[in-house]
Amino acid sequence: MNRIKKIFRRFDDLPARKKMQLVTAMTLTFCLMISIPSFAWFNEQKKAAEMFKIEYPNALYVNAAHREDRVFFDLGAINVNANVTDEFGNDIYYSKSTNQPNYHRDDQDQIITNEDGSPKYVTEPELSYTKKIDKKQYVFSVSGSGTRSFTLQLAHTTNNQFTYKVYDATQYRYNKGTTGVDEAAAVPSGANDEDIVKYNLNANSHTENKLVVSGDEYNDPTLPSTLYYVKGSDIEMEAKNKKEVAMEGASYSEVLGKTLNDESKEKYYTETYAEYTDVHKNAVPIYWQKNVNLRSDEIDENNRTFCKYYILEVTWNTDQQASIINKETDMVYLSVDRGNG
Amino acid sequence: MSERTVSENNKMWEAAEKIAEQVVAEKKAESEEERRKQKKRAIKLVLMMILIALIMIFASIAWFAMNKAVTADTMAIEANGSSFDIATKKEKVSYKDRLLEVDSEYNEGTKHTYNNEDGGESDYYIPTTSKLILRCDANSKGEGDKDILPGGYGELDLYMIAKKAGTLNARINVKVTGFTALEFPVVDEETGEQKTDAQGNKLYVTELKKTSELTTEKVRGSQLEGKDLNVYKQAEKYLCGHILFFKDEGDTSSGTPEENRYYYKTPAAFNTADMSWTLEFGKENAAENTAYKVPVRWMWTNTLGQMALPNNADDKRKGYPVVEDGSADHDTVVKYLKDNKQNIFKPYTEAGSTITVDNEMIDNPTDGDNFRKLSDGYNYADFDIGTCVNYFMIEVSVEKK
Repeated sequence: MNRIKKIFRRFDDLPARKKMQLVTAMTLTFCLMISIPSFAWFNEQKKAAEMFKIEYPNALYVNAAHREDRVFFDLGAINVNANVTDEFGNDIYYSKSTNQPNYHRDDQDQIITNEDGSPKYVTEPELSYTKKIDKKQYVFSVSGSGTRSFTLQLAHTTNNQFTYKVYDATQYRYNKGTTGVDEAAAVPSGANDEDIVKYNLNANSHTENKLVVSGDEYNDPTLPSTLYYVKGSDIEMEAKNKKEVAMEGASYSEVLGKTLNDESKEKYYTETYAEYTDVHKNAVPIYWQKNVNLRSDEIDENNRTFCKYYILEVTWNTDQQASIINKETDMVYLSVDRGNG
Repeated sequence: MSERTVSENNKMWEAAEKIAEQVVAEKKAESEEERRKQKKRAIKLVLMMILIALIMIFASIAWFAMNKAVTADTMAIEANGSSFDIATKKEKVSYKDRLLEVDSEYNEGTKHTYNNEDGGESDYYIPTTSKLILRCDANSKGEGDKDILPGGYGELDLYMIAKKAGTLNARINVKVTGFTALEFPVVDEETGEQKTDAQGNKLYVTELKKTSELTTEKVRGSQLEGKDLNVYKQAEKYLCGHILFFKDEGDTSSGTPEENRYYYKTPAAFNTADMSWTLEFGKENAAENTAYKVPVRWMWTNTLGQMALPNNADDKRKGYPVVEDGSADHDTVVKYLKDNKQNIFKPYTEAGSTITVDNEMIDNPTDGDNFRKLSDGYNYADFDIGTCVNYFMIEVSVEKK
């Protein structure tokens, strides 16, 4: 209160002219203070806004090995009567005693080779035997960005008695035993030879997928012309069109044998064919699915891209197949679906 | 003690009386002066009170004016301007918190009942200040907090309310602003390490910054560290370049043959300088307290072919064209592409050389090589938008003409 009194006293002490000036100045200031916001409003501009979130580009691709164009994921023809061959295309002879490739060796125990560098085998039937192939392996990749999960889908008809399985795969730049290279870039020495799939890179094969995945760039000049993929564990896809209750926990062969029963009327059959029952049972595809949740270390933290490799393994029973004369064609579909992540 | 005469005594009394009178008179004068002073003070006080009252009145008028609750017959406001208000009608608001984070002056508005343009009445939300958060458009992919991708489109849920009968003309300015969500790691104070969730994913807190105003200082500690901020700033320009605004709806009805369908008519005018769009809104004979829809339609065109190709003879186009083939609108869109190509197409490297879109390519989009280059440039720009810009705001300013 004293302060206010002081101000009033000081005001009282001022000469009349000064008092008038002060009052006028103050009044004008107040008027300005009031009129500025009012005038801004009278200008009649009003704003409205809406906020949107942009979805991170969550592309998903299924490609051949090393994210090459799909055309290079070539299943080709499968000759179930063919023998197991080496990388030069020659039949491999296995030793009857060791079950290992039976190479011709010289005095120094070195493998004797042909002119083209391929190894010579001991071919005498009493010492060696050849094996019929019982599987083929194909590498494919699933890559994308901005997603934490996806669903891998496999569908195939069952004209041939083939078993389809999908395995995780790891990509390496060098075969096992390659010396003078970064150890981590070569196939581990403990890897089983049968689990190593060789893939020769193709020229101009990256027109579909231009994702940049760190550590796995395709314009890397140091990239060798051949890459090696090592089969990991079975990803254990789930058959979606198995009979609901009876087939719970059924094995692959059970699914193959039973789901195509017209009477079962399981969900996917009915969705696809409705009441139509005259479908050849081997033409009804089996649908397999696997939800893949990516681990943090599988996603490039910077641009949120990822690339996973898989091996599709087609196997068959060699004894059974040898007795089949008719050639059949099967259709195999691979697709990925964006998860909710 | 000497004796005094009676007269002497009388004289003394008289003198004493005089003195007493004098004292009384002086006192009287003093108190009169006091009273005058008091009067003066009272007058001053009253004057001050009047002044304060005046200020209060002025202030409250201003306040009333700011508050749209004032009735139309109060003071000079009606004459001076509150002849319209803006409004929004639908229920859902998307990303309200994010919008308030970047501009806290926005508000959801208050509910009022107005007449509909086509009869009846409805509840509308009008702003409590002059900034209103628009409700979600049912047609837009933005509804239900869904995220926008190339191909996203919508119509703003914006109305103008005529406060008095007469002509309602307005200039609508629309601007897109991009925001980048900076992710700062959530650090455990005890261990100093980044916290993770149950699945082992690292935890971050996000904070929105205008993409155009990103600085290295702001991005410290986030995933942007060490990145080229110009890529981000250019990505926001691509966003502004890729979202086009239109006034009228096209024809996608089922009765129209596929090849004749198109999305929009009447593109808004683009102001290259600030990358904003202008539309004119006009309503003659607007009725009092009636809400009129302000048509503002937007589209983030999915493929370039929908804009640049003159027709779909080569079957290169995916989806319907944005505007009608062969129309003046198509020429407008092509001109827009040419005028703003640096903010629509991203230069990219192909077989060792840089491909930059030029007018010749835009003029001859049916040429296979050109089409591929245009599409790639457009799609690369889209990819940059998606990776650098996380949110965008469509801001509309409505100005009475």
